[in-house]
Amino acid sequence: MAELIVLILKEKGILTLNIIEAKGLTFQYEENSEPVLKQVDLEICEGEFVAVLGHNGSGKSTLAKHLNGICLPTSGKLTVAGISVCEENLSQLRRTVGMVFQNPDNQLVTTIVAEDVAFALENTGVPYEEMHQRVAEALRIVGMESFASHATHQLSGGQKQRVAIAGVIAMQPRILVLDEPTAMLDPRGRQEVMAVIRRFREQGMTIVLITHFMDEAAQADRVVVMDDGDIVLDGSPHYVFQNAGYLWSIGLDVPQSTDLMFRLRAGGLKVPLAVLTEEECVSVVEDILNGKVAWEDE
Amino acid sequence: MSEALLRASCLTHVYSAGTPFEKAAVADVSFEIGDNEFIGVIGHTGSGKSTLIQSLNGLLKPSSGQIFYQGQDIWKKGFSQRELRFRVGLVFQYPEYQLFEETVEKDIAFGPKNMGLSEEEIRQRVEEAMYFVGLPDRFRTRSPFELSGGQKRRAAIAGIMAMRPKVLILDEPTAGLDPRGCHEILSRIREYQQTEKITVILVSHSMEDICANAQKVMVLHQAHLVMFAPTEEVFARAGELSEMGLSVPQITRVFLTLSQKGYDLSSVFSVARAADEILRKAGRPQ
Repeated sequence: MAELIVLILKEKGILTLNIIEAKGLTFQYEENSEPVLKQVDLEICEGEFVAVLGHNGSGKSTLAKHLNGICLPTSGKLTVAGISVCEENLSQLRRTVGMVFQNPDNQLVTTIVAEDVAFALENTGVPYEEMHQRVAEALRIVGMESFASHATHQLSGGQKQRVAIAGVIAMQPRILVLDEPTAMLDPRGRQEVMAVIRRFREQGMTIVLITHFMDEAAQADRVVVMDDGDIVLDGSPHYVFQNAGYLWSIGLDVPQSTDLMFRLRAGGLKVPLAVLTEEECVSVVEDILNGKVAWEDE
Repeated sequence: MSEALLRASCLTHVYSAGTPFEKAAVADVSFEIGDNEFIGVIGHTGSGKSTLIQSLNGLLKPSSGQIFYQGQDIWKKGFSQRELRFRVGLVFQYPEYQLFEETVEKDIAFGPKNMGLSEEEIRQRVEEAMYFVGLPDRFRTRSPFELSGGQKRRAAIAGIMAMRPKVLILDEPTAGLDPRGCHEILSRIREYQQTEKITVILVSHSMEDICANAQKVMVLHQAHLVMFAPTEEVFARAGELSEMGLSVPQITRVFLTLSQKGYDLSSVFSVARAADEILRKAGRPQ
């Protein structure tokens, strides 16, 4: 009954359950050094797909590394799924938060795909039968079931990265944190990994995706932009990418469709600026070509 | 007839020949590359890009076929492979992992030193290379390991530039960098190519980067060279590229969709050109 009430309240937006809550989160590598994170406040709801953007050195990877306790806060508070991020809670955190990193080669530990996915399960003493089920299920979710007995070194980058994700997913984490998972992949590999992420999103998993690719951020429910150790923009992709001038000024970019709208606006056409996807862009350009978009001072 | 700077003739490279894992990474590839060109190379993972570029400076010996540098077969007896490595500079993926010296200066000087140049000449080349990649002089005496990711990458590229190669090959030089870092490195490389009148071969997964920089594009697919043409021509064949698992820039896809819907638009691959075309077609009322 209580669960039902919570569910209804959540549905109606009266009650939002934050699965990640940072308050005044600050991190320094050494005492007296410049903080990498400066008083970061961030709340992420369960089931949200959040993309984090920022140039190199903005603090986004450091933030990600706090979520499962690879880095521990110097000051401030961070709670993940109700667990306070500190030394004592590390093993609990690692079971709750799955991390996927940039380089697929650094994340695979065994020579056979299924063994790799089973690695963490074996270490945590999951019963044999259940382990088999979970490995098969994880490989199915990432679309790699037919590769279960293949050698890991013969996979493509995108396939390796999907195996790495399967290994993390087999542990059934509540939160999946991916730190530039597609940076080393070719376009097909990137699409494969993004398709897997979208599938997890549909299943209601909380996802934090650190990325340099604007088109990936555009697929998220929410985009958080970091600069100089703090959050400087936070909102829907449409809201965030409307701030193109600001994003450019801090070394970031916008999707090409958004860029086009800014150029058309500068050229005198009163186009909407909140245009992200190919489809949205096609429809605005059609309107223009059909004379449905007004010119400035018309 | 003048000889091309680089020429590949029926180049084939087979890995694990004679085993059950035998696989042609590059099959029957022929092309010519001239002086002062900017060539983009695209193809998805496993298409043969890396094998091809490593064949070009003699790191890999082809199973069959030939590579000619200024008309000379690089595998012919008497041809100096050593000399070739100075002429055809290759910057690997993630080159910053190969930095090893105590200071940035020493690291960049490693190549020129091996060429047997004088101290004075080496000093000049280090200075010049640092200028081209945009590393301030104060970095000269720093440890390369104190630099940021983007700076390390530039130091590594400078190490190859300092040999003043005639051909500079870069394998994914912007992978993992943020948008500004990518843009800076590529504009430096383009400026270098134009000032020094050298040929650059850029391997990249970023179609946006290829479109913005390359004059001609090579497309590799399943070990074969399937297209080698001016950039506009290659990206006008977006449908075929997609079938090969390659992406085309978002703006190109938008224009293609509109053409399919019957709008009379030329194919574009840069946002600036797209905006010009739309504004022209829309025609501001007087």
